[in-house]
Amino acid sequence: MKTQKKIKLKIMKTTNDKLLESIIKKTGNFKDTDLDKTILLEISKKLVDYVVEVDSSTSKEGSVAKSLENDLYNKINL
Amino acid sequence: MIIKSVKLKNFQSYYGEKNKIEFTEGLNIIAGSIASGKSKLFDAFYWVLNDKIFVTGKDWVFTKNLGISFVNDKAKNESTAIDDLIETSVEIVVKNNNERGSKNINYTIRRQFLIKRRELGDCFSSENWNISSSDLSVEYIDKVTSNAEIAKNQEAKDIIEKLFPSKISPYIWFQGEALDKLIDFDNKGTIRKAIDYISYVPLYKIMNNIISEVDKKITNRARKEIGKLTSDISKYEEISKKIEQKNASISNNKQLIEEKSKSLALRKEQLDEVERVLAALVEFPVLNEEKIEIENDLNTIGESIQRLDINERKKFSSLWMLYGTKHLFKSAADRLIEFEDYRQSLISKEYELPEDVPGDVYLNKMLDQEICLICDRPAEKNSNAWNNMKAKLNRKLKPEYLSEENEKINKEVGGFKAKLGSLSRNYDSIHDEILDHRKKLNEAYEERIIYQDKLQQVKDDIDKLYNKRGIDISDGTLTHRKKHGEYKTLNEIITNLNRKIEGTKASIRDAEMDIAQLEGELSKIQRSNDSVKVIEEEIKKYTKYLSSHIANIEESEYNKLINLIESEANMSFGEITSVNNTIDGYIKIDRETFRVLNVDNDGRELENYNTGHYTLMKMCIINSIISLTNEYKDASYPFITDAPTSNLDNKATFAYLQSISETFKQSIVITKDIDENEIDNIKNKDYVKGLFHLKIKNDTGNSVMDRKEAFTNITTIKN
Repeated sequence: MKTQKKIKLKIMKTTNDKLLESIIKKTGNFKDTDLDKTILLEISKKLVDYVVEVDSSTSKEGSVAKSLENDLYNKINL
Repeated sequence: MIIKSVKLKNFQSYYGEKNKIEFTEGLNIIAGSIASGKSKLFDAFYWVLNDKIFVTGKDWVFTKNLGISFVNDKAKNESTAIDDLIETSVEIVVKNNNERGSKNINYTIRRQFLIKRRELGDCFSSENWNISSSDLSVEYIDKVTSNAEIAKNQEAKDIIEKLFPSKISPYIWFQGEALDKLIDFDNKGTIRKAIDYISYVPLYKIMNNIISEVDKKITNRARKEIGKLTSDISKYEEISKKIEQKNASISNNKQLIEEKSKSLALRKEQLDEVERVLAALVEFPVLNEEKIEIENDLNTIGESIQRLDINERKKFSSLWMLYGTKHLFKSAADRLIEFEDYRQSLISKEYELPEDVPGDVYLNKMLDQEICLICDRPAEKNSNAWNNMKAKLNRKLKPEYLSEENEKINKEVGGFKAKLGSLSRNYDSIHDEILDHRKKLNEAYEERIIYQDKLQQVKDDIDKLYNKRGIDISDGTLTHRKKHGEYKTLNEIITNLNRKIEGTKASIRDAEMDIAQLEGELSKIQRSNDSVKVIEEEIKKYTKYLSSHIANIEESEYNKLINLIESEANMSFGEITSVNNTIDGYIKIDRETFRVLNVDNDGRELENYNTGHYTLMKMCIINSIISLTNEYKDASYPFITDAPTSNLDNKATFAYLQSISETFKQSIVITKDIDENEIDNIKNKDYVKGLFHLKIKNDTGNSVMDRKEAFTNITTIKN
């Protein structure tokens, strides 16, 4: 069967892996920016991880945004 | 996921409890003649999961409203005593392969409904029975504890939602008759919902919300921190405060739009329903079509206004920023002119100085000739005079400001100055562009007013029509009047809601323009110390970058999915239509209205295609959505359909069946009766994995099938 074969051949990846992959791919591995790629990758990873935590409730998005903000302060030191 | 079996007890035409079908993976065909219990079987699947069934002419009906009508008649007829209890139940066993944590668990989903005899009158009268509500349970073995668990009520519903997500279930359960009720392709939300389920679009949305939230906070904080470093702190703070207020009002307005849009969608659904009833009248469809056309035109105009707005706003922000820098550029240009004047004065001064005269050429000449050519006195070699002249050689060192490096900088400064000049010239065109944008927007607004008037005219015509009809029609006049009243009220509510939403959108646009202007003003205020870096400003670069990219990914993911759905649908459409010369063209999903169209090679919509044709197109879209869900979610769902091919000929029917057998891990197709001569042929087809036959019969030998005696008999031919 067409679909079954496709599924079997595919390496099983988690939703998170696929999301992160797509961000890296669609941004051309952050090629078009002079920002630090390591930091960008870490922020993207964090964002992807949060997606699992957050359901569609806005309040949770707010609190997750707060912790991401704190992470960024710690990460980007002048 | 696989449906392993279905068991029915006293459910509609299925009498007693010996009604069980064991399915296999792949294509399962259940055939039967008219009134043999085919649709009842489909109802059974739907009822056990949803507590409701589709009744022609009545729409979806819940158990409580079905009463005793779906309890088997023979069973009711056999009741002879008060307090007799009849159990009606459906049980399906589902093997779940989708969820990682619960792989290969069998779930036994059972819904039961009891009726108890109250009076000994007519057994088919609901007055003589007490009815209880239906009872749902899900049994499974917990993988961790190996205990048998029974979930009831909400817990059971949650398991069913996990197994058959509601966003995708309309595509799993497909009944030819209820097709338009199940999946309304004219409704934009239908395909959108499916895309939300099968793709990661909603996850990108969450990500975007998070990063935009951070970006908003950081931008505010960055503004505060930069404010502390500016030459005019109080003015900076004052403007910042205004920006914050505008942002807060934008957030409020956005929330308001969301609320109004929700209620608008609800009202539109209600209006659709009323319109469906009204559409029965002859004249209404023509006017309604005209109304839809005008509404579509209005949508297009609305979208072009929005597009104009978005494009121009993006441009505007940068133009305003540029405009805000006018003051800075001007003072920079003045400084450059000052610098050039100063440099020129130094050069002039250089040429005025006589100390380096005579130059080295003359000095060498004098040294060679041993004579001072200025005073004409001899200067013998190695004499004091000759040595004095020699000491003057190489006196003129190249001034530092003319060094190679400085000249390079000077060249760059010149270039920069020229760029500044051309930028300053652009300031004039900014003003023109703003005026031009305003003009375009005004034109679009005017056009919208014209179309709104046209729409009102059509609505008035519809109004008149119903006033007229309300008087003319004797039967059902009351219904028409009532529906007409509802139609009018709903239209008014919708118009008001639309007006409010448009108004709020305009306020948001204005606030955004104001913010751009205020940002421009902020940029005019210079920093007192440029070397101090602000951490918030650094973080802002990251949040801005990611926010814009994730929004783009969300949009492109959505577009990609629509393209995929269309191309997969066309693959199966091509396979099926290749055996039938009367059907041609391609399936196209209109990107604006999400209508499913049949088009020729050049994308022009084909005319005069029949219902069967249209049904086939819809089914191909459904195949495509389920198939993509399987791929995207690493999950598989069975495809259960009743009478999908009643509009197709035999060749197309089998091409369709073969196509779905290749798409789905399991499909259960309930179809019209098969000719006895055809049974072996179908049984021997490789892609047919299960074949069952339904027939109505009785135990009395009577050739007339009385409802008190007749029941559905299931024969397994292949599984």
